Amino acid sequence: MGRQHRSRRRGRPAKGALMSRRHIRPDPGAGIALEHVRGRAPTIRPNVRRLAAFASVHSCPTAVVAFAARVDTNRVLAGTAAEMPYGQSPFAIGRGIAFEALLRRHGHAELRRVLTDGLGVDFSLAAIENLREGYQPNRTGLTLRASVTRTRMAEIASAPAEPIVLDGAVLRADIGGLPAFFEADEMAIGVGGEIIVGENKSWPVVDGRPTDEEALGAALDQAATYVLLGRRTLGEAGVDPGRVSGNAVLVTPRNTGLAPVLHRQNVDGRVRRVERLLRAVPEVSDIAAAIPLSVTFDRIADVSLPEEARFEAFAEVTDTLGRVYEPASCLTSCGFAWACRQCVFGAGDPAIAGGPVARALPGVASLGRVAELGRGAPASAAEAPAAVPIARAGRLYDEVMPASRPGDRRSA
Amino acid sequence: MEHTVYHEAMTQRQDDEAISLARRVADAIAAGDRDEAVRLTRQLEGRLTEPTEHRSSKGHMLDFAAPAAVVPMRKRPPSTRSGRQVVAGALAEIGVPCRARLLTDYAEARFDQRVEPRALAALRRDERRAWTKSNARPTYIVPALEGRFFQPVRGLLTLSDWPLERRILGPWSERADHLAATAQLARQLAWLSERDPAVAERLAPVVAGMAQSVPGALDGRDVDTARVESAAESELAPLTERDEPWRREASARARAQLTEEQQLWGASIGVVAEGDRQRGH
Amino acid sequence: MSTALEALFAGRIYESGSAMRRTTLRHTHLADPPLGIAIWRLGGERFRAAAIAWGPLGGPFELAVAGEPRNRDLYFAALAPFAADLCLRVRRAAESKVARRRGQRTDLIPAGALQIVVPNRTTVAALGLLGRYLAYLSDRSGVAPDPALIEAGKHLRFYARHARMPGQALLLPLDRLVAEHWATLLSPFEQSNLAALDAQIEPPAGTHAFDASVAAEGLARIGPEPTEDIDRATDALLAEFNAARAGSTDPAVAEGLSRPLRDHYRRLVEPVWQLMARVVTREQRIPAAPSVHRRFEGDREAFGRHVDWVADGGRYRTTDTPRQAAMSLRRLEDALGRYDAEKAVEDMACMVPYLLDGDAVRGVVVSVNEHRVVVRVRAVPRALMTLDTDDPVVLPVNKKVWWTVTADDYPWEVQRVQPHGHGSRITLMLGASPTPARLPGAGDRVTLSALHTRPDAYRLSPPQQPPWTHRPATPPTPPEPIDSGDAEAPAAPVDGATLPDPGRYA
Repeated sequence: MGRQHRSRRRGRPAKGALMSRRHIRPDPGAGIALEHVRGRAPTIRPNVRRLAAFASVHSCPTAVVAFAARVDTNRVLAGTAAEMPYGQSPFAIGRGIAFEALLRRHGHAELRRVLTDGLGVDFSLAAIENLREGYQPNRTGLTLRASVTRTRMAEIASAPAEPIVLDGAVLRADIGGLPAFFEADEMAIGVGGEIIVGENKSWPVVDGRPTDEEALGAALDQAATYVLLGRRTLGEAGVDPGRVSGNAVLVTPRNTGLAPVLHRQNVDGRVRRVERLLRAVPEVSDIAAAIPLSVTFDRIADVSLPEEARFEAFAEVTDTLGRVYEPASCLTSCGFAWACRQCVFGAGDPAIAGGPVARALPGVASLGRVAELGRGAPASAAEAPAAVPIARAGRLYDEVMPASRPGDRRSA
Repeated sequence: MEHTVYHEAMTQRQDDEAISLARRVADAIAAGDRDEAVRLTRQLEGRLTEPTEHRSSKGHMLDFAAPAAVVPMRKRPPSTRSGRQVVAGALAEIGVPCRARLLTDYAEARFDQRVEPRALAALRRDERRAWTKSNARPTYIVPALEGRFFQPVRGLLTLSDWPLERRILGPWSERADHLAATAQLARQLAWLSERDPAVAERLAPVVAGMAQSVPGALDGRDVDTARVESAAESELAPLTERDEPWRREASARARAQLTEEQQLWGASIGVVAEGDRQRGH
Repeated sequence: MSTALEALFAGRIYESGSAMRRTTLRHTHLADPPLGIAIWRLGGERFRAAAIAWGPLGGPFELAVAGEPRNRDLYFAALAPFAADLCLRVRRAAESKVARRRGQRTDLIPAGALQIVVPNRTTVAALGLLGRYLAYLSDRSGVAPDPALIEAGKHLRFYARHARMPGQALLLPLDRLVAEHWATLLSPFEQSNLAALDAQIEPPAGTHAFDASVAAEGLARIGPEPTEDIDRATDALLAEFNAARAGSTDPAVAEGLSRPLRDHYRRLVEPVWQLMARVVTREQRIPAAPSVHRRFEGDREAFGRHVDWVADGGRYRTTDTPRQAAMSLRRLEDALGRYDAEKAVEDMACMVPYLLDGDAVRGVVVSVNEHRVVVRVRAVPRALMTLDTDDPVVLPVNKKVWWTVTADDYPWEVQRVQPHGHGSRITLMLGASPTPARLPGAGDRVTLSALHTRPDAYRLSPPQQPPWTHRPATPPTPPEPIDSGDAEAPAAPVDGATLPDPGRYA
């Protein structure tokens, strides 16, 4: 069925243009085209959180282009009223940093302990490779770390006598034809013949249950991404990908304070979802080829322009590319959501109220029209299926509710 | 313990003459006048071996011919060492790659000298510059090297006169080094408890902090140095079995691949072209 | 939920520019006044309330600010007045009892119960965690913690657990109260922002509800989790506070130095407090539905039991046994079913979704006649009703439906459905003896639905087994304290602006 595109249908790319095709090398032309699309818009390297966010919005053409062009949607609208708050409290960040530091202190003493307690294997003599220190914080460093990760992961085939742990393992992946590096918090190689992926989070677990369900889901999605990429890496190295366990590890504090505890959970379902998502990401060269030349985020990000001009540029770009607005997904994943919401409202698009409402109105173009149909306006053939229940709803509601308040333009 | 007796003798007898002599020995040493120091210490020895009611039954004599460092002092001459010297001194005493935090904590406890974090950052920069300009100093403070590509690990400091094996890090090294440092500091603390209780009191929390991650090292609030040392050593032993060969192999590789400069300061890896796959070992 | 009705709402609100009521009545008990609680945590610290504001809503609030809430001594010193006041109010509310008859039994249950209102559901969860922490504090170096803190913790835990019960009113998150009674253009996700909800209900003159809520979202700071800019300010103030007190945990010292932090949090709480009061006042004006009293009576009963258990030193399990969990789930489902039924039966506006979805019918009674029908062996009198409905009906034959007026009684069974005019003509038979109270009159406009409120059909009574404290054989294992981390030194705050990838620590 697919999502319906509720934007004004001007100049949208042809339906097949965004289908994925495999390329061997990224097209340099695509790189240039995407640079043009970016303009001065702030960029962000793809990471696991960005990928998870993209998963929520991947059916939106604007989101796809922004993702492919590495545009940081959180920052493009900086300085405007549409800029969405996205930062974290310094205390929350400080806690996260302190938690990681605790795990690593004294030669990874706490990490060894929590892995030993949680996995039932002795990690006191484990070889823990610290891939976070010494490597440059740039692509070179990431490439090297990915190479070490690959090599050590392949050692699972030769059954290492003692577990190996990689602190800051890096997995390389191809996202839409461009390389991306994903950093897993830890990876234990050689636990019962398996490789186990681990993610650290600083929100606590109390009485065996996580205190933040939403964050738990996000963390498990991240772990699933590493499991998937880990399996691909093994496969490329000629080793059975199944050796990467579908039971990922979460390391969180227990109760108050920061003392860590380990929590294991199966993420196979999520792995499948991530895999579908990655397959659905179009090739960068395809996207670049399909984007009209007029499309660029440059003006939107131009802080020297007045707000209205920037917002207008946003409306134009998203009209051209296409918008798919779904409040729950967009407001939690995309920095354009507020601006998009404004456009959607301006168009009277039923998507403003969320998925179920939008889905209840096939054939009905706008909320204004819904209001009319709700008062019994004659429906066209296309509108009829949706219109009948709406008219009935209007009638039933008016029957029970007291007369409309002053301020309504039309009385019941 | 022989040193205890001597210590006791000094306090209980309030021998002003001996105290004055000891001070003059210290001044002589500080001034670099070895001959004078030896002369004064012979005098001091003479003074102290006079029969007294507190003479040790064992009849121990302190070894005054020993190098100056062995002479127990209760009061040190005011230190005029620079931050760099303090850090180097701390590193020398700990003997394994160290984090800046441990070095500054140790230095403050041991030498009663504060080193600001900012100073350490400047130190790294200055040290490199100094080495580049002229190779004059006997030792430099250099970063530890990770053992695959020999890139510098800025967070861990070492001394350039240490063999490569001690300056290179393998998968077991961080833990092994921590345990070795803990054991060494426990021994140091034990020694200082007799010699210099004020310093020992400052150092004890540092050792306790290090021992916290060693199972069985601490029991309650007090630091039992023998216990700490024993716990650290026993955890260390199997790690050393793995760590040492690894470090030796890595060092051999490093010597084969790296220049002198790189063996001290680490290798920097150039830009890796897109599509490069296997690299490294 | 009927999507057609939701769509209608969206259309009309878009057109009119302000929100619409979903209900004609209020379906939640509101005390006059309830006790309001608003908290601000320290970022990422789920057990540390940097500020707690409380008081009867409509009046001024008291504010407890610990200064450094991660220091146990300062934290507990600051929480003590809140805890003491909460315990006092709870005990006072439970003091006077009334007799309640249920079948053969007569119980004594409190005449009232302390109702707490909070801005949103996140605060409910936050109070629950705080309660878990406080209810089982361990001693520190032989010093037992203030018993008022522990008691308050038990109360908070009870309230947070009870809040899961559909239709309850003891701990009321106002975002849910408003969303249940009002339709807005906000998606369910956006509805968790109370200020946005409120803005859509009474937008300023000339402003569309949408624009009003967009503005409110941008400005609103509601908590309990602080935003980055709030905690940047907190960071600066807390650093000064900690430097000034130089390690002292003397409450007097802290009190003297905490003025800037108190002002900071007071400024944050004020708008939330006013918002809460405004929302509650608005809803209080709407008359309460009849079953509000019954549901609140259930709340009072649970409240009474809880207070008695606390007085007996009672303990709760931290997590249910599987059997308890299954029972609880069943009770929750039943409670939800009954709550939905009561709302729809008592409030015609709430019946609209069921009418739209075909689970209810409305029409004019054509005739009501008595017949003799053979039931099993004997011939008994039965009533037959013929109803002309407004809209076509899709009820199957033999389907049982209840007349809203007798929703707690016996159902009517569908006998026949025929098309008739724009709607249908249906014939139904009452499955009980036709007393006058059970029969509508000819020409009456009636509604019948699949919803009923028969008390015996819902498992709402408390578990048959006596409470834990009265079962000598198996004493419950007390939940363990979770405060071991209190002794740890707090982590230094780190501003995201100084990091290349602050998102890493989310």
